[in-house]
Amino acid sequence: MKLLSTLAALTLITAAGTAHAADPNAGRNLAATCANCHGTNGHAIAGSGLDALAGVEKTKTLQKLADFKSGVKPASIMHQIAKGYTDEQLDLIATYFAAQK
Amino acid sequence: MMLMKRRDFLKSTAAVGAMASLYGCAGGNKASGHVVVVGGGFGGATVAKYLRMWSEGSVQVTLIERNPTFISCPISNLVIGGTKTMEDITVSYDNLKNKWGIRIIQDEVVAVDAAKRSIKLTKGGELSYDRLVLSPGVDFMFDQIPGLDNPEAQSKILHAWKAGAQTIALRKPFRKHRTAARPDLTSVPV
Repeated sequence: MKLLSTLAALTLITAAGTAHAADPNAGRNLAATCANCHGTNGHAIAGSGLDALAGVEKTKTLQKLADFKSGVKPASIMHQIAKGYTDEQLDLIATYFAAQK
Repeated sequence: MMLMKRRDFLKSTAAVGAMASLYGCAGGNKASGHVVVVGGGFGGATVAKYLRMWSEGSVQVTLIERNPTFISCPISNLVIGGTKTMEDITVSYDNLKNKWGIRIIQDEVVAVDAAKRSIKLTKGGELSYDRLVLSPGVDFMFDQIPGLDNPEAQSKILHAWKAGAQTIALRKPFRKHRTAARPDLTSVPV
């Protein structure tokens, strides 16, 4: 039973991965989940104390996310959120934000 | 009362995204149609805005909300604590209307006819749609708990799930305590 649900989960993950790879809006859609704190398309609300993500160099964002994931960078919730995405997904998100004006 | 786990919410957000991309990116064809969103809370207001944004204004969106303004529940504890006012946590729907071109109707939906793709409103008759988003938020079954099915009991046992009257009622006892313990805080703007 446990093996079955693991298999089912793996199948889902694979399916989701394939869907993302084929979807030209995958980056935009994933990045939309950041909006509830970091603002629409990464434009943080002035005075919110949150980092703006729009227009930030991709390597910079990816390094930050990697540091959250590894625990090098202290965080309130980002260390948990960063762990919820694959490296491929984080790459899509960072690419999307870098392209925002 | 419907509770949605964050993970399920993310999945459904992804589904909405997938739908929007199907609409928006098929050989340059623009999306079209009329989407009615019921409920202007975090979920409904976000769906309404993103449908307009991601369709580049080509999907018509109508948002139906019973309240004239949105009052944020997650930061309402700051009003109870005395560091924010009710005004601070109240947001108008003007941006959705003026900036995003969403038609806002202040009303309540009493019936959905999925076959006819139409909804019934208490004030304004019927409204037809191509797609319907239901995001009405939580409600209570007070009759399921003995003794709670009357206004007096409900005014004593506060639930705090809906900011507004609940926030103001919850703030009262805290203000009293604060006044007694810290007279210097009585002039906190609330």
